[in-house]
Amino acid sequence: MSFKENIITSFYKLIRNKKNGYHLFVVSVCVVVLIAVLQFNKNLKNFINASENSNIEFRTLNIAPKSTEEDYGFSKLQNIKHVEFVYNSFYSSITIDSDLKNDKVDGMINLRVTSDEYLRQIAGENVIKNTDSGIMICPNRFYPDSNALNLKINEKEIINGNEFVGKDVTVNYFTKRFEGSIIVRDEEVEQKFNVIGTYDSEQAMQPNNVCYIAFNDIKKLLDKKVAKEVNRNSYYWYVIVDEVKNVDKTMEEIKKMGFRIDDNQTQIDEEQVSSINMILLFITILTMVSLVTITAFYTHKKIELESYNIGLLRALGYKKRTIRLSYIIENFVSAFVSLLIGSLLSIIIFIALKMTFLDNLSYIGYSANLDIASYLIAYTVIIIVNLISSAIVISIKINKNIISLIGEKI
Amino acid sequence: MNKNEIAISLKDISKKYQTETETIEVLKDVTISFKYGKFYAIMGHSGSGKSTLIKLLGLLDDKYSGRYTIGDKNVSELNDDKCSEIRNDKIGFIFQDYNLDPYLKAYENVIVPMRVNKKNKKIDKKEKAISLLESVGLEKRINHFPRQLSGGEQQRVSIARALANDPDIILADEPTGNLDEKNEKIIFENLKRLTNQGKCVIVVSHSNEVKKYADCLLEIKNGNIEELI
Repeated sequence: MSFKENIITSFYKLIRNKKNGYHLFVVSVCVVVLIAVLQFNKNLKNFINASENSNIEFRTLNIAPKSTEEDYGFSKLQNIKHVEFVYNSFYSSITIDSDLKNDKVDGMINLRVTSDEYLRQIAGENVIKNTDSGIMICPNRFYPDSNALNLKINEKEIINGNEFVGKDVTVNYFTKRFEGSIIVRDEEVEQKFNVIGTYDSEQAMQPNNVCYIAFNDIKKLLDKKVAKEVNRNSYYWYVIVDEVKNVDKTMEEIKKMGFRIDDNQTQIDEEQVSSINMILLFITILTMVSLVTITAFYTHKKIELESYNIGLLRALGYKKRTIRLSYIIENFVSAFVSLLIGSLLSIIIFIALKMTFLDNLSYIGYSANLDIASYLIAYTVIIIVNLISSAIVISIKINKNIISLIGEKI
Repeated sequence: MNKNEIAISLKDISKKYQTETETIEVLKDVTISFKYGKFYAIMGHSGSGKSTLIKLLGLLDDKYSGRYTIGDKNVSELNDDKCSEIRNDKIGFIFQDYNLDPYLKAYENVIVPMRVNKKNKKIDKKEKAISLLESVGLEKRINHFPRQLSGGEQQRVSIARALANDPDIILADEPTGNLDEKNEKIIFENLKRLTNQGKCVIVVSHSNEVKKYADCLLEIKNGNIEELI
C-alpha cells in the first residue's frame, strides 16, 4: 500500500467515522491546555528575568543614614565597589502638575531620578547626566495622568512620547513654608523641562507617567517645594547596585561598615524565585504527564475500536507490518488534525485574552507573547505520544488470532 | 490453473479446541483434495466443524496439525508473511456477516485487498473495482456505503472484494446465512459462475438450496469429512 493511499484512506476514515470525533476533540483540548501551560511558563519566566534585569528597584538598597558620619555616610556608600549611584530618598520622586492637562488627562506626571547607567540602558543615547539641568526623558507611551500610577490606563489617551522630543513640558507647583506649626502654600512656581528623548516604559517596568530628570533639578525643585524645616537628613539613602548578581555582596559590605539596611526594600528573594520556578516546573510536568496519559488512553481506546478492522485486513492478506504502518500513519494524520485544531483554538483564545486583559499586564512588565517554542514542544509531545501509544496497541492487536479480532466487531 | 487440477490438498488435518474442562477434537485426521473448476458444498450440523474447516482453509487459523497444500506449496510450513501473501493472492474469502468496512464505499471496499497485491500496482484500481461490482449486478451501488445496501447487496460487494485479486480459490462461510431465498439464489448463481471460470469454489452452508449448485457435496461428521455425492 503506497504512502499516498495510506494518507488518503486515513483522511477518509477520520472524516467518515464519527467516533474519531471524540479522539480529535480530546487531543485538541490537550493541545490547547499544553500550549497554554508552556506559554504561561515561558512568559512568567521572561517576566521574572525581565524584572530582575530591567526593574531597577530589584537592585536598589534602602540604607539608613549614619548619624555618626559627617555626610551621614554618603561618600562611604558611593565608594563601595559595584555601587552605581547613591542619593537621598527624599529626592527620589515627585508627582506634579504639568501643562499636559486637558479634558481627558489630568496632567499629573511623576518626576524621578536614577543612575546615569540605568538611563543609558533604558533610553539609549538620550542620557541625562545627574549634573545636567532643564532636560527630561519621557515614556515612549506617555499617559500624563494620575491613573497611570494605579495602572488604570485608557489606551485611547496614550500619547506617542516621541511627539514631545524637542518640545518643552512645564510643571507647576506651590512652594511651602511653616506658619507656626502649620504648613502653608507660599508662591506658585513654574519650571520648564526640554524633552530630549524617550525611554521604553514597558522595558523599564515603570508607570506611563514617569519622566526622568537630572538629580540637580529634582533637588532644586523639592528644596523649593518642601519647607526647609523638614529634615532631609533623616531620609534613607537609595543605593543603586550595578547588577542584580552583586546585590548580596554589596549588602554584606554595607553591613560590615556599620550601616543598617531596611528589610522592607524591594529586592529579589532568590529563594522565592527559585520556589516559583520549582512550582512552575512541577505544574508543567504534572500537566504534561496528565495530558500524555489522557492522549495515550484515548489513542489506545481508538485503536481498540479498530480490532475488527485490523482482523479484516489480516483476513484479506495484509501483512502485520503493513497494518502497523497503516495505523501509525492514520494516527499521525489524526494527531496532525488535532494539532491544527488545537493550535487554531489556542491562538483564538490567546488573542481574545490579549484583547481583554493580558495587555493591561504589560504595565507591570508582564508581556504575554505567542511563543513558537511552546507550540513546537506541544506538537512533538502529542505526536510522539500518539505514535507510541498507537504502535504499542497495534502491535498487541495484530498478533491476536484473526477470527477473534473479527469477532470483536463493534 | 487447469480444470480438474488439484487446488487444495489436506492430509491428516486435525484441530482441537481447549475449553476449561476438556479438549474437543473438532477435526480428526481430515484428508481430502479440492479441484479447480468445481463447486464444493460442505454441510453438517451445527458445531460439526464446518466453519473451523473453512477458516483453516482460508489460513485464518494456523493452530492445527497435518499437511495443507495449495497447488504444490505446503502452506502449513509457511511463516505469517507468506500466509498473508497467499490469503491475498490465491484465496478470496466471503464471510457470513459480509465483514465490509462500514466507513468505505462499495468500490472502496473492493479496492482494499488490491492495495497490497503487486499485480495491481500499475492498474486503475477504481476501474477494476467498478467492473467487478458490475459483474455482480451492483453498477448502481458503486458509491454507496454498506449501511445503504441491503444484505444481499452487501454480500455481493463481499463477493466482488473476494475476486479483487483474481484468486484461484474462493471460500465462502455461510454466505447466505443472513439472506432471504431470492438473494440466496443470486449469491449461489454468482458463485457457480466462478467455477466456469476455472476457480475452485468451496462453500460451507446448511442451506438445502446449495445442493442445486454443488458439483460435490461433503459432510462433516464426527470430526471427519465424507463425500455425499
